[in-house]
Amino acid sequence: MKTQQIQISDLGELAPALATLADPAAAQLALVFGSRQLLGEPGLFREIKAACPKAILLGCSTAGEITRRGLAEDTAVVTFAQFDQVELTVATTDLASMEDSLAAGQRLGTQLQASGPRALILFGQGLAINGSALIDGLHQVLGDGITITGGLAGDGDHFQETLVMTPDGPSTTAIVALGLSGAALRFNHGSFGGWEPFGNLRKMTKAVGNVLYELDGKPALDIYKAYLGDYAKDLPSSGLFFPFEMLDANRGTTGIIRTILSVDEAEGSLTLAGDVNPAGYLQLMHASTDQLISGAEAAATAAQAMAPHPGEGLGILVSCVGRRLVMGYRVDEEIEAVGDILGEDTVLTGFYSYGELSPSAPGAPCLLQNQTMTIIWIAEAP
Amino acid sequence: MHPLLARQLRRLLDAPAADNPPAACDQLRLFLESHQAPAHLQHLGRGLGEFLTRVEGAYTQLDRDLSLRTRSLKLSSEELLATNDALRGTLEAREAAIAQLQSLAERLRHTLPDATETQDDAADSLTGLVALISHLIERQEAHQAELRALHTDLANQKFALDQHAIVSITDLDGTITYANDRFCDIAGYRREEILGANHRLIRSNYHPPAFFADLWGTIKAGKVWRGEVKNRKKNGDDYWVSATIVPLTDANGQPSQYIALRTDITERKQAERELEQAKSLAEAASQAKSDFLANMSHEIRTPMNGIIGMTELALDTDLDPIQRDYLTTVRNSADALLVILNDILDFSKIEAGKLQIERIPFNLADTITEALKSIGARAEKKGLKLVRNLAADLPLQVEGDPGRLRQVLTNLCDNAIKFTREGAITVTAALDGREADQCRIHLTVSDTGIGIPPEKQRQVFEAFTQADASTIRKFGGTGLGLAICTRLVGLMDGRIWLDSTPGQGSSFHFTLALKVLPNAAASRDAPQGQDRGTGALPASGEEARAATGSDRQVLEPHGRGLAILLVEDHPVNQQLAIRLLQKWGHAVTLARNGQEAVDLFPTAAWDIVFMDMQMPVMGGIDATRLIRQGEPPGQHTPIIAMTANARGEDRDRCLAAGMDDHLPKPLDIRTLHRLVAHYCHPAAPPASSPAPPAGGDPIQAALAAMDPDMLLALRDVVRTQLLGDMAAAYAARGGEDWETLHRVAHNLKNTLGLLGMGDLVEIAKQIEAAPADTPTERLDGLAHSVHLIVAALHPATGATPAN
Repeated sequence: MKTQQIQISDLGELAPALATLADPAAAQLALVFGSRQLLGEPGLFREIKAACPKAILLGCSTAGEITRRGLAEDTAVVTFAQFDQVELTVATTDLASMEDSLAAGQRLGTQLQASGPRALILFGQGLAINGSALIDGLHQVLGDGITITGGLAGDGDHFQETLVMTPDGPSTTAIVALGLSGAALRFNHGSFGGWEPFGNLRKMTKAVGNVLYELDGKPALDIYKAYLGDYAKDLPSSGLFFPFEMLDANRGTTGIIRTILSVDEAEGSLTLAGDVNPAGYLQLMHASTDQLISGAEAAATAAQAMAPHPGEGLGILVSCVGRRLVMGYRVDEEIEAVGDILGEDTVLTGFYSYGELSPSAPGAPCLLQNQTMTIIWIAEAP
Repeated sequence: MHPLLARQLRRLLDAPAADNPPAACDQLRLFLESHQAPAHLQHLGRGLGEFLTRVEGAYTQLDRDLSLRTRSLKLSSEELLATNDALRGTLEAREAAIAQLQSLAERLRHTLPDATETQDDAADSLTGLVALISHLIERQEAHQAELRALHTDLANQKFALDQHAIVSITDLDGTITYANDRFCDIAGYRREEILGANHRLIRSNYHPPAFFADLWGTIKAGKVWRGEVKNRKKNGDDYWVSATIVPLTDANGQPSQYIALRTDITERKQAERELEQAKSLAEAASQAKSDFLANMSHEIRTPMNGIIGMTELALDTDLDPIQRDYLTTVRNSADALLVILNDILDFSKIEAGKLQIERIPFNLADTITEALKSIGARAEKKGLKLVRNLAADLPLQVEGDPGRLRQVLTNLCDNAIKFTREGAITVTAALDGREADQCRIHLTVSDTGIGIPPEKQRQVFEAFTQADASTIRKFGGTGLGLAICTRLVGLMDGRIWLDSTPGQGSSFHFTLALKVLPNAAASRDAPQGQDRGTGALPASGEEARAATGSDRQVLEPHGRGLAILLVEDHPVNQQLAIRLLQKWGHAVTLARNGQEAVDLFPTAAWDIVFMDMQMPVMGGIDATRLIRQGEPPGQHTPIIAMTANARGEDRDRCLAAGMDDHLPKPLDIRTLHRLVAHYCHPAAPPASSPAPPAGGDPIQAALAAMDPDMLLALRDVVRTQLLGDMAAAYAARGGEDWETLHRVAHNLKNTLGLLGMGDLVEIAKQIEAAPADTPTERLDGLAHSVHLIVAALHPATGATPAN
């Protein structure tokens, strides 16, 4: 496996950067993460496609791009990979609406079924999508044995419009999935938050889909505002400080964290970045920067623990936009921590997202995660 | 700029750098570049501004984190406190609930079966409580299981009951709340017609209101009512049920509903009715037969009486030898026929269960001896000896039936005489055992006759059987004698058996259970004393001849002619009695019924009244009562009952009505002669004196010892007094008026004492002391003696000082 990476902050930098690549036409995969502005430039897709016509081009817009150098904003990072034995397939579908999520997952699964992929890397738009339903649709077609990872596209801290890069160019509605197969494929993953629960468990007394109306019989927004205090005026972005952990009806932990995406003052409701189980409980969580960095380390350690890594690899980091807002200037430290663990011979790429897709643990079904550092680490056996 | 950073910079830097560090950093960068400072210093100058920006960012971020965490901590603390309070409240409520559970568990422990085996302190800890409750629940479940099993049993039993019985349940008012299928089927109603209806729905109106009053009274009192009820079906037909109504009580023991269990007994009722009808018919037939026999008894005996009596009269006339022989044969044949008739009638009575065994006092030795007197004559006539052998320890006075004893003894002896050609008949009486006042007498009649073969010995006690069919032809007889004896002995709590050697003779044994009475009537025993014991009976002479009817003997006229009122409706008896009495020298006036007697009585001074019992218009009892009522004080005319059944109730009724004696019917000529002689003259010939051989000697001796003047003075008043008291004594005993009997006996005692009659005084004393225990025989004995005294004092005939 061979990997090369370029990063540009202006479309004009693209051609010179491509020129520095060794044999770009041999690349089979081109992963693109960038700001919505850059990713939306038609020239970006066209020039990359021209440089490596055989490569599968995919990616998405971000709330910050990740390389081994750390966080970057308003850039585009393109990573090229060439495999010896791993086989790649790609599937794309348009998401008509949020309610189409389950069907979209089924459609993607149907396209990928023939190639029998072992793992999927999936990118979808990050605003009007039901990630949980999408994953359900994929598992329904491909079975529970397949490992699904990926992330939802971001839009800085604007939460307005996201793009997904498909083999046919950028799209605001598309979902793209890369299937990986082959005995030589090494596909490790890890996902961890680093958040700590505090306060009482709160019973969801009214919740529909991803909208939470009441906790313990009181308007959810009131409770939330009490904790935010002065920072309540910064909602919804200040909601990232206190995500919820979801617990099941028996108060058992599920490992899933839900971020607040928006609030409705009139209804007193919170809109969460993913469905909640209305029969379950929620617990407020918080974290310090150090704890979040430790969480990222834990995710990397988990990914590393799945299998020893032979040689050169590619690490795709999908971290939550909430973590970035909490850590501020120190967000680079979690990227450094992951890079240290995965090692110098692993090329890092990735982005701050509006939702991470990953199993909570190896073998577990994929879930839509919030507030985690999610690591997809692929390599090829010699 | 962040206040902390600004303060730190002001402390380290002077103005103007302290006032605007970014501007100062920018100036430093430009200065180092313009003065071509070493590269690393130029790099420092370029990075310093960015460094300060990041430091400020970190400060701000830390402030924010701290603020949020402090706030979180405060809110969490408040929430925790609130939660703590809530938990404490919950805990208290829970502890209260646990305490309640403990007390509940405790209660359950003592109410559930088998639950008390748990430890007493089992509920003290929560774990223990849980264990205890688990245990109790198990017990409860087991209990429930038992209850379910019981319920199943009950359901099965109910099912079984429903298969068998007609079942209904009503409330307290009789409104039907449950009816099983059988109920609906038999009553002919659909269930919905029955449920909610009153039980009166099926009443048949057969039973009187009192019947249901009793039913309701019983079940309302919580008791079970049983009975047979006639109910009515919807279609109007009736049916009978055997019903059991059980009140079902509530927890307080009060009836809350009634369950009625019935079985259909309509068929049984029908059968019972038919049976009842059949029984009525049978009873009517049996009654008709009894009536027929009774009538026949009367109807046959009366003409037999006529034949025998008239033959007797004819034999008393002058006859040529042939005529006498013919008439003797007629009379013997009639006698034999009468015996047969009596046998048949006795047997019929026994078979019909109508024969009553008396329990009256009698002298045992006297009774046996008397019976043997007549037998002795018959034995002598056949040339046989009759040996009497009475044990010395036989009780004197006993209670039992002397007539039946005599009958059995006579029968056995007659058989012995019949089947013995030569030798002797030996009668033995021995005491077979005695316990308190009960004794068992063993009598044996042995003969030296033909004997009975062993194989026939059992048969002879059966009815209509003799040892050999040819026996009847050879010896005559009905074959009923021994059967009657067997039954009579059985009725007297004894048994009868025989042992016999053919050709040598037979011994017939029988036993009797008798009650021993204290000795009494010493005056009567005295003359008999030397007669008791062992010895041959007088084998010849007047006594023997007088005792048997088989020997011709002319009965002499009585010494004195009496005025006799004969009350008799039957023409033959009228003629017989009138002829005999007139022949013996008496003046007889006839009354054809009781009313005529009552009318005739005051018209003359009668010496004796012979009173028949059953007569048209007025019977003997009523007539006697009226006569006695009309008699002037001090006067007492002897009234003699003529009755076919001179025993038991009849005699009591006679005596109670004021009669003095009785004469058995059919009339026995010698008995009549003797009786009249008794009332006619105290000095009658001994042969015809009445059976109780009171003898005149002690009385005459006593009277002779009296002062003649005093005797003369007392004579009339004593006679009147004695007769009056005697009649009053009979009346009092008959009416069970013991107080009067006591008083009368007292009077008698005084009167007899005045006459110096010591023995009779003792008898009167006994009666006075215990009037209620007075046997009739005691009164009879006393009355007999009193009559002798009265006769002796008679002005015309009696022993007077003038004599």
